[in-house]
Amino acid sequence: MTTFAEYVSRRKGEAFGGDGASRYAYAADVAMLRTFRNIKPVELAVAAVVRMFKDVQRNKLLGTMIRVGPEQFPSIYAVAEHCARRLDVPVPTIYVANSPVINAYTFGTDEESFIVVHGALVDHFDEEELKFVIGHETGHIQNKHVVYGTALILMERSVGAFLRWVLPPAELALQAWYRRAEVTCDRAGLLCVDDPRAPARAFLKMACGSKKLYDEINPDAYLAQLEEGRTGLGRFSELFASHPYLPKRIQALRVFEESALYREFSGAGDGGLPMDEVDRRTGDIIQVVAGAA
Amino acid sequence: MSAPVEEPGAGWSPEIRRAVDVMRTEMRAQVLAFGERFAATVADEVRGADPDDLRRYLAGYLEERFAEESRTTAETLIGRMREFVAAHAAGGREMSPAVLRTRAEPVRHDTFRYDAGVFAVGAVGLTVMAVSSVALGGVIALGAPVLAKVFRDRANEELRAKAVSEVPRVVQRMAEQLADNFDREIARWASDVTASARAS
Repeated sequence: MTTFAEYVSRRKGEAFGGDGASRYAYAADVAMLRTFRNIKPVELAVAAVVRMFKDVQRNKLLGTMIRVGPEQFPSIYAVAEHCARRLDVPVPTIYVANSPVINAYTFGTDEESFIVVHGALVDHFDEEELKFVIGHETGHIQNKHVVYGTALILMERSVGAFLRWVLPPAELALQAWYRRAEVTCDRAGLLCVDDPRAPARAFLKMACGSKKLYDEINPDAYLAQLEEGRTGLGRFSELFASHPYLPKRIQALRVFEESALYREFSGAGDGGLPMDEVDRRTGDIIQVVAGAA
Repeated sequence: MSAPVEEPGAGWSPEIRRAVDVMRTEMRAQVLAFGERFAATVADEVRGADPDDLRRYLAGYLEERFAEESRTTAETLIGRMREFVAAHAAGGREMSPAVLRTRAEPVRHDTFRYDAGVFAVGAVGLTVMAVSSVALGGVIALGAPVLAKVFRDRANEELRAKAVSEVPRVVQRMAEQLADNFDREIARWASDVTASARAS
């Protein structure tokens, strides 16, 4: 008979879990998040503010969106269960929101997190792509991104409007971290799909947004945009983005697919790159300023 | 208070009705006894636990323990159902050994007043910095993390006390919920056996 202490100890050390970070996590994400969290008083203050807004937001969600469960949108719930099993985490709480924008996001605190999936995303994505998205968001929960991710959302939206003059440095730092956190969570999403091409399809659909054009999408031609986007002054605009540009994310995932960890997980056999090499190559791909990944 | 269990029993033969009664009595006794045993020990288990662990893992732990119990009970019931089917040459769908879900709500402690206090101190500090004195505002703003630490310690103590007092009741409610779920499964099985007997 398992005791609570044994259960906690097991959950903290599970395959893709771990107390600090998951095994698949991008090292630069882990390092930056650890730096934030080491400033304990600031961490507590941020968590308190996020918790306060989360409570407000939770009531709004319950009043304006539809919560997914075994009896409500069971197909989406089944996807969430699948992702939770793959990543060894509890089934996340998901809400479906009426929005024409193809998007999903996670907010809340480490203890209580919510994933919001826009209705348009459900309409445009097939099951494998949905697994990638929900797996990606579940990765945020597993890797304890939620507090600082929510802080970033708050800065970009409501709170930021009042404190615009003081926030840019903090916002810039959080955005730099979040771009790295996105790499970690893309890996989580990949671990949740059976078709490794699904993530690229999902990114391309997000980039394009037109059902009429989906059949004509050419991933390789899209990736060629990456090199072209590496030149020119405008490339630095990515410094102010919370997500790496999409071609970079596809490239970064392709590198992760070559890792020994992913090969073992997907049954592709022995061999593959060690994670530090995967992270080094990923750093080269996602860097905005040379040497800053 | 759990929801009343729907009784579809129309058309059940006396044999099926007797079998259903036996199974329900046996199952309910088993599940509720588990609930009582578990409720008696769970408070001690959580008494010394880390509050963050309680927030993150307690609900999952309760669900896992109930999943184990429901598996054991399901196996006993399936055995009874097979005996009945063999003895009466009956057909019908066998109850799925799949675990019946019993959801546990995480133990929540409302920290809104603490969190709002931290936010207010920080916001006042930043406002004073903006409109009046950077030094004074800075000192006030620095009070927010200090206050957060004080409030966090207090909230942790309150959460632990709440968990110790509430978890046994949560466990008993989950046991009742599980027993009700099994009741429905048994009723479904009985209706299936009845339908199968009619069809043959």
